[in-house]
Formats: sequence, C-alpha cells, structure tokens
Amino acid sequence: MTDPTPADPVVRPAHGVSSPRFSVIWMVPILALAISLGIAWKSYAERGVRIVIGFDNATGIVAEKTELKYRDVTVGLVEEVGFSDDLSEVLVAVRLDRELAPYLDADAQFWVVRPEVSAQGISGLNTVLSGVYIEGRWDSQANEVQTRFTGLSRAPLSDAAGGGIAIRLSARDGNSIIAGAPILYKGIPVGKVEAPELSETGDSVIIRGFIDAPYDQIVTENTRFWDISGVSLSLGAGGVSLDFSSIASLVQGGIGFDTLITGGARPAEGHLFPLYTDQETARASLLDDPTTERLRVLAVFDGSVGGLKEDATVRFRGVQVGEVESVAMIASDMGGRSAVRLHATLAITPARMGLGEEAGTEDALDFLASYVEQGLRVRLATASLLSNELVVDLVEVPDADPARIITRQDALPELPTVEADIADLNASAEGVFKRINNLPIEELLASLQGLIDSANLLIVDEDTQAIAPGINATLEELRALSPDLTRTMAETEATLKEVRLIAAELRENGATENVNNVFNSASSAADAIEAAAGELPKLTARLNALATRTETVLKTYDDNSRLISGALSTLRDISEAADALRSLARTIQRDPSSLVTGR
Amino acid sequence: MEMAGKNDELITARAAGLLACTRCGRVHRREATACQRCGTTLAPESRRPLQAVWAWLLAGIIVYIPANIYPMLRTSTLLENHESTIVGGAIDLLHYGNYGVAAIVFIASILIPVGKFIAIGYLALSIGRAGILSAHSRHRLYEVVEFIGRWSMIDVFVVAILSALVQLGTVATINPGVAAVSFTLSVAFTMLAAQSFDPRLIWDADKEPL
Repeated sequence: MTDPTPADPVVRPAHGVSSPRFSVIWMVPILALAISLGIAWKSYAERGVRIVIGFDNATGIVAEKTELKYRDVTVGLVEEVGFSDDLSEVLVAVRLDRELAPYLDADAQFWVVRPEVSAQGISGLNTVLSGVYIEGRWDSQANEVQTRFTGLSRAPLSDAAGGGIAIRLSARDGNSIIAGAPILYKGIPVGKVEAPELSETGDSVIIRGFIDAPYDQIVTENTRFWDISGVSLSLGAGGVSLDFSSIASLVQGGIGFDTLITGGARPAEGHLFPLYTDQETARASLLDDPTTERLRVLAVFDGSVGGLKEDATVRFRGVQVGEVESVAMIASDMGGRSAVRLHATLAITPARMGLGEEAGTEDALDFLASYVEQGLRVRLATASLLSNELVVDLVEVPDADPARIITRQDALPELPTVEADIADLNASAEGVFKRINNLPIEELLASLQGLIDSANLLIVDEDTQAIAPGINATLEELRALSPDLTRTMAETEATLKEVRLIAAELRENGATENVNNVFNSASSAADAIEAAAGELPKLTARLNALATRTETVLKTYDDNSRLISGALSTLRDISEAADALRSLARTIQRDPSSLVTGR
Repeated sequence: MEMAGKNDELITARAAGLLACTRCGRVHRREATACQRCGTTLAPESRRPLQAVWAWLLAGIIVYIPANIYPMLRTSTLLENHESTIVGGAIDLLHYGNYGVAAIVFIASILIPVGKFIAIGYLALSIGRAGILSAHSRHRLYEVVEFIGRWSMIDVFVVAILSALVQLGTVATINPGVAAVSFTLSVAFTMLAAQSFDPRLIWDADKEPL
C-alpha cells in the first residue's frame, strides 16, 4: 500500500525578482491626492467673495439660508450674522458669486426685502413663504472694489432699470408726507419720495424723491411740485369743491407736479425744487423764478390793518404781483404828536407786472414811479366777503392828490397810500338800503291820500245820503279789496322786519360768513317791497275806479243809512291802512338808516 | 501532519519549508508557482504586497477627507436648498430624535471607516513586531475588517436610493454631492487595502524577520 503521492507540482522558474523599491500601486494614493486637491481647488475657486453688509437690524436674516439677490437672481448666500465691535449694527457676511464681485463698488446698495403692506398695496409677498432676502443693486461699471457696505433700511426709490431722475423737494414741514408717498403726474404715479428729513440748517424739510423713466423727461427746471396730501376742501364762487387725488395720497400724502412752461433745461440729479402747498400756489408761482430779485417797497398805513398778514396778496389790477413780506408797527413823530403807523413791506415780482422776464427791480421801480405819478396808490381791501382777510391793492385813483415814491437812503422806497377801502362790504349794504329808499312809497301814499279825500268828499256830499240799495254789491267788492290791501301792508311790514333783522345780524357779526346770505335775503326783501309797492298803484287804480263807480251809484240811488254806514266803515278801514303806510313812509324818509340800526 | 493536532507548538508553512495557497490553504513545495487544487498563483510571502496595503490605505484616507468636508446630500425643496455632510446629516438626525438611524449612519460612515484605517494600519505596522495582540487576535481582526468593509457602503446606498427616488422637480430634489463619490472611493480603497494584506505575514512575523 502506497500512500498516494502528491502530484508533482508545477514548477516554473521563478521570475527574476526585480524588486523596485516602489510599486506601481503607489500611483493610486497619488491619484487620490490629486483628485482631492482638485476638488478642494475647484471649490475654493468657485467660492465667492465674502462681503460684509451692516444693517440696523437683521429681521428674518438667517445664516446659510438667506439669499442675496441681484435683479431677482440669487447671487449669494448669507454666511454668518454677527455684530460690529461696538454692537452698533448687525454685520451680515455674504458669500457673493465671484464673477459679480468686481462690480461691487461704492454705489452698491443693499436692503432687506420683507413683506410690506402699504397704502399702495402689498409687496414682497413671495418672502412670506421663502423668508426674507437681501436685495442688492449696483451698476455695471466696475470700479474700486469694496467688501464692506452699509445696508439701507428700506428699498431705494430708484428703479432697478436705473432710468429716472432723483429730485429733492424743499418744504416747510414734513407733516403730510410719509416715506413711500407717490409722486403723481396727472394722477398717475410716476415716482416715490423718501421720508422727509430736516435740512442741514434745520429751517426746512428736504424730501428726496425719484421719478422713474420715462416720466423723468417731463421734469425740467421749470417744473413745479405741490403737495396733494389728503383732502382739500375749497369754498369758492363755484361752490364747494372737495378734492383728493387718490386713496393712497389720502393716507400717506402725495406730491403732484407739472411743467407748464416749456423749454426748461433738464435738472441735475438731486436738483432742489420748492414744494408748494397746493396746486394753485404752484401755478401762481410759475412766474417766480426764485433766483430773480424781487422789488421790495414799503407802504405805510395810518389806519388799522387788522387782517393784513404776512403773505397776503399784493394785487395790481386784480392780478397777484407779489406778497406782503412783513407787517410792522413803527412809532413815528407826526407834527409834534406821536403816532403809530403800520409799515407793510411788499415784495413785488417785476415779471408779474408785465415787464418781461428780464426786468429787474430797477425797471420795476421806475415803472411804479411813473405809475404813481398817474395816480397809482396803495390801498387795503377786503379779499372777499367771506373773510376779513385784507389784501393790498395797487389801484389807480384818478383824482388823487399828487404824490411820488419816497426814496430814502437807508430805507425801502415808500409808495403813497390812500384811505383803506373797507368798502366792498359797506357798498353792498348801502346799495340795499338805497334801493329800499328809492321805493315809490311816497307817491303811492299821495295817491292813496287823494283817494281817501275823494271818498270823504263823496260821503260828505248830500247826494250820497240818497244812496240806493244797489250799492251793496259795490261795497262787497270794497270789502273784498280791503283784506288785499291789508295783506300788502302786512307783507311790507314783514319785509321791513326782515330788513331790520338783517341789519341786526350785520351789526352783530360784522363781516362774517353769514354776510353772503344776509345780503341775498336783504336783496330779496328789497325786491319783495318793490313788488309790493308795484302792486299798490294797481290797487289804488282799482280803488279809484271803485270810488267813481260808487259815486255814480250813489248818484243813482236813494239814501240808505245802513249801506252808508257799511261804506263808511270800509272807508275807515282804507283810511287806517293809509295811515299805517304813511307812518312807515315817514319813518323811512326821516331816517333810512333806522331800518338798519333799529333805532 | 498528525502532529498538528497534538503539538502545542504551531509551526507555519514557511517554517516547514512549504508554501501555502492564500486561497484554499493547501501547502506546496516552495518552488510551486500555481496551486494544484485551485490553480491560484502562488507567491511566496513577502513584504512587497505590504506596499500595496499602504498605498491603498493612504488613498482611502486621502479621499476620506473630502468625503467628510463636502456635502453628501443636496436637498432642494420649494423653499430652500440644504446641503448636508455625513456628520452634519447624523447630527440632524439626532436633533430630529432618530437616534437609531443616527447611530447607524454614524457607525457605518464614521466609526467603521475610521476603525478600518486604524486596524489595517495597525496590522501592517505590527508585522515583524511583537504587538500587543497575539497573532490569533490579529488574524481575527483582519477577518473582521475584511468582513465589515462592505457595510460602510450603507451610506452610499442611502444616497443612491434617495437620489433616484426623490426627483420631484421643483418641489423636492435630492442629489448626491461630491462627498458621495469620495466616500465610495474611500470605502473601495480600504477594501482593496484589506485584500492586499497577506495574512500569512501575521504568523510569519512572529517567528523571524523575513
């Protein structure tokens, strides 16, 4: 038994052991290293530039989540949110795409887009779901690169497209305008304003605004801006006009503008425009170039100038040519006795007096001087029946005493004045009373008197005694007439009462808002009296005719004492009516103003 | 042969002047170049394959670094984009309270690969030295490393399945990140390193230097 011998192994001569110290296998880690380094380098190269934006607060900004967008394209991601060293602001570090980094220079602006509900609508609604994001804006000019920016608290006004013009408005106060208020052109929103801020000197308010392209073409240096905030209620000849431009402007104010004079140059960026209080003023100011000098003259009034305020209108032939700049009381010595006179400084715009655009103050003064020689005087007048505001009128008084403009070395030229004409009101009142006065009441009464006389004669006449019973009908007629007459009388009396009432009211209120009504009713009262008076002659005629008829009747018929007594009583009635009329007439004749004064 | 069971003294094939097949274990005369049973090419024990171990191990470690730095998963939903690394993902899971899943991810993606690096490195270093562990323990460690290596791919599978399934357009999309590729490479490299290791060296080294 033999153990199975193992098969002879295959034996090959061993390979020459070429033993290089390094095997090819080492290529693998080298390759791996190369790949890793490649990945690292690639991600480093793709890694954006880190910029830091300082915000007042970081509401909604989340590191590694909040995006930076440029024209709504995501171009970066917030890396971390921290604080500045002094904790004064929140620093948001953003990793920005490398290819955009060169464009981030000084003009880059950043703000946080949040959902916002304003009077104009809701914006940033998409951020409700996705969270806030940072919006950036910069131009396509690559200048000196910056990595530290200060974020804006709200979106800038200018459009992303970059078209438009930035303006500044100078207003007296910023009460009515809040940030985001629209700039309207013919009612169409064409831009927005930022929140008003105080000017450097603190004496006015500057409102920055932006008008989008293409509407910026409308804006020239001649453009006038005015405040259209809220509601304007104006009471004028045309009645009451209620005006508000849009709901949005009602809530947050608004600014309207128009360019009424063509040919103005395009204003520079940030050109400062005055903001007028309303459209009227803005339009009225069209001739005012703030750069032209205004002629300042002095007007000295002796009388009371109650109601004359600064900025009161100075009119020349009914057209506004300037304003009252200041009103001051100055004590002066007048022929040994001291008096206080009122000095009003008037600022007159030469261009408004029809002297042309180029007219200077000298031209205006010469013009005024020559006019004064023709009788131009300064006079106070009431601006309207509705208010006791005074305006300064430059009027031509044909029969005025000769006067000249007094020019002194160290004072403003002084224009001659005439007695204040607070006349408008008085003239109207006077007119009413004049008309009442002119009523033909006396003639009426005279003819009535005649009638009565003839009636008396008639009654005294013997023939009358023999009056016939047929007179009955005639007397009936007379009786019917009598109430007619008394009614007329009552009407007259009522009218006069009304006049008296009006007068009392006038006395009480002076020139109050009621005056208009008062005069209207006074006028109508006068009309009523006139009408009543107009009816009186007719009545008299009828009475006359009646009397004639009575006469003939009486001549025809026999005496009838009952009838006579009836006729007598009728005639007594008539006589009483006449008496009343007479006493009224006497009163009016004696003292027309007693109607007004009530005394 | 009969001595093998009784003799307390283990001898290696090499000590007996023989060459063992690395695959089936049959011993041959040292001149043999192919196993008579399974046909495997026979190679004498040498330290040369150790170079390959080191090389694969190094490559595995190198690619393991970006695997941990770069995002494994890119999740884009309607509202946000999210990128998560391996560790970050495990921490996120922990925050969501999925402790089990977090543990699996952490063990499969961090503990096992790192343990493998250490184990292979230790094994390779311990050749020719009397280490803390006996040859038996070291061999067992080697077996475990070889066995467990494939389980590291669990994270890669998760990523692969998620990326394939969650493709809902704008609503939600999951894409593998750079780390997925490097992690796969790392696992593959360490597996190759383990395979390159010649366990016979564990035994030989105890006796005498080669």
